[in-house]
Amino acid sequence: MKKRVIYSIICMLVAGFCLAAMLTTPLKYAEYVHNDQDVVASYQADEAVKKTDTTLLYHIEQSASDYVTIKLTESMGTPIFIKVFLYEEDLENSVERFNLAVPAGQEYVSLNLTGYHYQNIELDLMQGVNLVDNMEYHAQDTQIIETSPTPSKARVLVAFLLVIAVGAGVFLVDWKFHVLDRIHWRKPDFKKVLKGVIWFAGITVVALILELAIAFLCRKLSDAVLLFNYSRFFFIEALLLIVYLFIKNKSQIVNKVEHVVFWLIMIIGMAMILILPPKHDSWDVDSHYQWALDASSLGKNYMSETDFNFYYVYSDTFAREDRQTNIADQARMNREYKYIADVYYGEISISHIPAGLGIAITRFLRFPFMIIYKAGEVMNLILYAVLCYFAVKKLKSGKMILATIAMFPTSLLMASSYSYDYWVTGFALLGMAYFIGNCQRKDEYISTKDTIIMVAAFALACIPKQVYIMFMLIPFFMPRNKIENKKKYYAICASGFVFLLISLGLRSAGSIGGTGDTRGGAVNPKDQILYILSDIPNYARIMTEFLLGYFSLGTVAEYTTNFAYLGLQEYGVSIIIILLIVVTVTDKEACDEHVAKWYTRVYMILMFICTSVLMASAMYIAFTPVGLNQINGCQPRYLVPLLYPLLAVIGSGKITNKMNRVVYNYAVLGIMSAVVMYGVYDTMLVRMM
Amino acid sequence: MKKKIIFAMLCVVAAAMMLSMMIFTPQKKVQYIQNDEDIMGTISLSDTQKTEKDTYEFTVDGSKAEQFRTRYIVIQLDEIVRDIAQIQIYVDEGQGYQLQGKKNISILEGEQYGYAVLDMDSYRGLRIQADYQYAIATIEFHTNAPQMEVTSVTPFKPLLILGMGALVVVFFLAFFLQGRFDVLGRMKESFITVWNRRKNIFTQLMKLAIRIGLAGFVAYLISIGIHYARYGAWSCHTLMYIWTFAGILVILIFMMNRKQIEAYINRVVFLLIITIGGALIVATPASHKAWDIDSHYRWALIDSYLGRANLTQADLAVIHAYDESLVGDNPQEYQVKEEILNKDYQYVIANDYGIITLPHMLAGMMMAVVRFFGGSFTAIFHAGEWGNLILYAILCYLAMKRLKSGKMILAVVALFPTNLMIAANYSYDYWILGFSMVGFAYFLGNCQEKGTTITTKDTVIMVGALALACIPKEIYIMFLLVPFLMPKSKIENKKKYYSICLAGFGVLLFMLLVRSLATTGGTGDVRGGAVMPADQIQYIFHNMKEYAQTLTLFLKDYLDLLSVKDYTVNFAYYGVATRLVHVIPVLIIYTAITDKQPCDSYETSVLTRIYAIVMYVATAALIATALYITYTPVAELEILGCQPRYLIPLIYPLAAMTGSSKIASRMDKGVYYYGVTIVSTLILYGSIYDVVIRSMVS
Repeated sequence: MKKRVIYSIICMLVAGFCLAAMLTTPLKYAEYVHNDQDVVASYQADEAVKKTDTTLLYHIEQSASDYVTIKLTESMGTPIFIKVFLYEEDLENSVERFNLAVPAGQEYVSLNLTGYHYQNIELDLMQGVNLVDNMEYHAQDTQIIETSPTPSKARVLVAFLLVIAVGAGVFLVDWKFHVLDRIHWRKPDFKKVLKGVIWFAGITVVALILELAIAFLCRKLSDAVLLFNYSRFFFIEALLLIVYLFIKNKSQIVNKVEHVVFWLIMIIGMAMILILPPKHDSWDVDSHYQWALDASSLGKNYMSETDFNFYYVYSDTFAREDRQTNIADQARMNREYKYIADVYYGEISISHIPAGLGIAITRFLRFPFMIIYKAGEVMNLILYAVLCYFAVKKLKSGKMILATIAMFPTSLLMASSYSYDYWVTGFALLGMAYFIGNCQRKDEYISTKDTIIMVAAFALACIPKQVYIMFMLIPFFMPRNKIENKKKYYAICASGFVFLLISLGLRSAGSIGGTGDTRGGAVNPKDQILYILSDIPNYARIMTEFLLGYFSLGTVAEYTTNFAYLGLQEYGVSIIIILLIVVTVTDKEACDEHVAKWYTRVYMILMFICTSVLMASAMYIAFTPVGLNQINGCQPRYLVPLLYPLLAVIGSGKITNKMNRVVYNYAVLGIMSAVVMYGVYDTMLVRMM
Repeated sequence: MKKKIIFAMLCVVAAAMMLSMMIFTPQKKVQYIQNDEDIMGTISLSDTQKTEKDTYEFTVDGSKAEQFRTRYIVIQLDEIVRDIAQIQIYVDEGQGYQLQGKKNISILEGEQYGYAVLDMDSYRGLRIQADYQYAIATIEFHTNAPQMEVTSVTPFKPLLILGMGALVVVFFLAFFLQGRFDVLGRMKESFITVWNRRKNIFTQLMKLAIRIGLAGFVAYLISIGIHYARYGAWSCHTLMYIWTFAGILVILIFMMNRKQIEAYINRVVFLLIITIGGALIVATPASHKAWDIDSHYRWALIDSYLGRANLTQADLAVIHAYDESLVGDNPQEYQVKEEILNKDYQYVIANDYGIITLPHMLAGMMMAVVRFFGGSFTAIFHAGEWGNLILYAILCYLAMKRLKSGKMILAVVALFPTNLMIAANYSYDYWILGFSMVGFAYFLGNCQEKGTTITTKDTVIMVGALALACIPKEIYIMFLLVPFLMPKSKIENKKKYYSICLAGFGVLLFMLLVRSLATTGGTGDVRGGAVMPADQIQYIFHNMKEYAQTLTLFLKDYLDLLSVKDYTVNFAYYGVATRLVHVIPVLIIYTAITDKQPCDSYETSVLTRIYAIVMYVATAALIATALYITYTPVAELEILGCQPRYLIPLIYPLAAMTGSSKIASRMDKGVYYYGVTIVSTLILYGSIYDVVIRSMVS
């Protein structure tokens, strides 16, 4: 009882801390106090050159002061975002840029230009230049009244109730199932931990020395001013850690290979996160970052100017080609993470909760934007690594098939970024590993715990993208001799499937009535469905042509060595294809002989094809202009979650691999690490050199 | 002694027949007799309009139209020809210049006039494609047909002497062979065996004939059905029929061998190559459909005449890659081209001398036989292709037969669509591939046999095959180092074994050096542009780092897995079949891993595997360097002319030697063989249909 109470209190404290972090923000409301008395120069909007509907260019012969205020024609109901570019004579390359937000209900925004030399100021307003009244130079800096937002009583109450619910939940679950008694608590091996810390510190020092040596050499060779490059340092450290990991785990590379896979994912993922500043490096970071922000707050969200940069996909959120610009962008992002630009109410999506928590805690601890942004990415990475760890652990054979897929450069990039693909892939790997792992255990029934984990993992994988609903039918292919209580087993499987089916039905109904994805152009879901139904043979032809390209080896690079907006790394793809075929065929043991019946294999092939058809159809309806003879927007990366279920069963169980497993696992993991790290170097590090 | 003489005489008679066919030709030689008396009108180049380099157009003017209303045209050059001048005439009948009605004029050494007989005497204009070496003085329009002196082609005397000498050699060789191996006795035994089983064989042959007949009938019905489905008319397209028939024969091959596929797999692959390759030959026209047909056809033709070829206008059209010898766009065009070539194959108009090349010998012999019996140009052209295909199929059969394991790796490579395309055409790539597969199969096959040592016969065959493979392209010389990797336990008499290996390697090395020196001193391949081998070598030596960078960048793409489409499903001038291309790399990797048996554990050491990889990369680098020197302009930062198909002979040794014998397969061998050959055949059959047949069936 005492233990139960202590753990309940600990859980309540953790939940309380997290919820407190979600309720508060270091961002402040800013009110610009306008003073007409010290205006030294004023430029009306009609004095500027209107370059486009959203761009105004002011030519400034001699700036009257360093303090600028931009006045709108009137206060608006929504925040107005203004990008300010300073130019000298050359209007192609700006000297500096600022991102400003005029909060809702205000008319002014100010800017301190002390230390900048410029001859032109360009204002870029997404909502149109007609909103600008004038631009004033003031003798003194604008006074800003800062106020901190306070959480409403209702949100505090909800948070309090949630904390109580967590405590009560932990207490009741343990009271009913005695979970704490079942857990085999192991005393932490502090000596081992200390040893690990010392090794890590030692490797860090070596990496530091190497980096300094390289920097010194570079300076000697090219007279570069720069001495220390933190990106290169992280890259070197990651390489050394991988080597250390391989050497240290020589005895565990076969029996506990999941440890190695976990740490490889963590090391490489952290290198990906740390080498570049916060950037729009993966697909749809704009949406996913916003959803993570939604998940970082309890209902009411506060958005800074920097957050809006990401949301509106401003150019400075993309990785630049040179280090200086990337560093400058990072400094500006940190600087502009100060005032609240907008307040809104968002929904929490389950797949963004880990990232949201990372953001909330670091924000609560008053870290700069860069750390806050990276914390969200780190949380995604940790969850992905943990899921892969448990998936690999559950398997008796075929661990390298899973590890190869888990370590695709594209998968690691998405896990180290804002996305929900890592969630779908991670949980799909876990669910499938529980299915295969149980099939591999001869003369053992699948336990209720394993059934729940398997079904829940598939269900969780499908929640962000219900189009993968065919995953939910995989548990039904469990050999009958593996199921002790058929009623119970199928009830769990059916409940998961029905839940997802309803969810899919609701979302589909919502999408059909909607306008589709406007990025696709003249999209109209309803008309598109009518078009398909009116000419089914033609649609079948479009689909077949699309699938032939979609499934071809030529597309593999798009979902294995694709670093999204950082570039496609083509050289590693041949190695990955060969490795995938090799592990699919050879990563087999005697326990695999009866894993997959012919109908399971047929189902996996069908699932691969049918889910692709479903995805392509969804994109044809929601993303492709009506009547187009091709399918737009169906990205190859959507195939990644489908790969492991297919490759895990497609190989023959009649192949026996008598190769030295240590060499085999080393070779597979070593090759994958080399391919990913080369990709990291080629697409990320080169931008920071 | 009596048997020896009988056998030797039989061989001499056979050789004499063959040599006769190669030395004598039923064709006639023709010479134009100049006649100025019936000239209706004359024009010079100043009366024409120059449209592009060496091309002139003459439009028949209304007022003077009468003096040009004739079919008989004579071209006079402004100088006497030193070797041969080629002029092509296109006629505009009112619908623009068409290929139909095109005439070729060849003016031979020592002559100044050439004639053409047009298909019609009324036309709107003439387009004259002049020879770039010789200027046209006048174009005469004659009333009457040109007078020609037609004479029989007399055999080249030195060839007759050479033939006699060859017969003597054949006599003594046959005499020796009979004494050593009792060939006649063996033939007699075989005949007796066949005779004793004559009823059974007859029944089997009858069954086979009935099946083939039925297959033909079913194919006929299917092709009619396809035609009706596509065009709504009950008709049978010949090409569609040929291809459907081939498809049904392939099914028949699989069905007839289904019970003992494991034992008959060599035969099955042989028959598949012959059936599909044969259908490809029959279905495709005599045209420039694969790479460098111009050169390879010429070499085959020279071989067919034992070094002194009698050229017709049709031969010249192929050698000079004229329009009528190029791949067409539609069935009508194919027909027109074939008609032009067959018409132009009437008279011998020139001679061509060359060295006899081994890879083209069988094609040449087949051409000689068909020519001797009066075959048309198309028939002769296809006969040469059949020669290459049969040799390729035999080599694949022998290679597979020698292997105890890994037969499917070889079958997959042998059935690459591009390989079949090359083997069913004029080329020496099939020769390199076929002989290299035999050589490697003898190496691996011997390694796979536990407790035995390699025989002298096998050593000679292995080294001989690899050496023969390298003769056309000595750049593959690294093949000849493979025999040195034979495990020592396999060699009984080391001195003898290594002497044979060294002899093969030495000969090839010498040949490579001679060719390299000749190439270095030469001007390189002019198709590459500003090529200068000596300067390029100097550039490489002075810029090793830059060249290493250029080569590395090139090899990254060249050896990329996704480049396989360029050498597996590439049908040269017909295009690339991309639909199923990606199954091939998966299949080759899959078979390289799984086509293993316990006997493979004796096979390859780590050194052999490393050598296979090094050979693959190093030979690719050598080929690229050779083309950088002979085909790429000096100091260029990329390598030109290095075609992906040069990698084909390197694929089999790489796939066969790098797999691990520690992967044990308990799969049913029959199912496995069936699966792999069926997938390979489907890709082959489907790709040919997709790219070649469909382009010819409107």
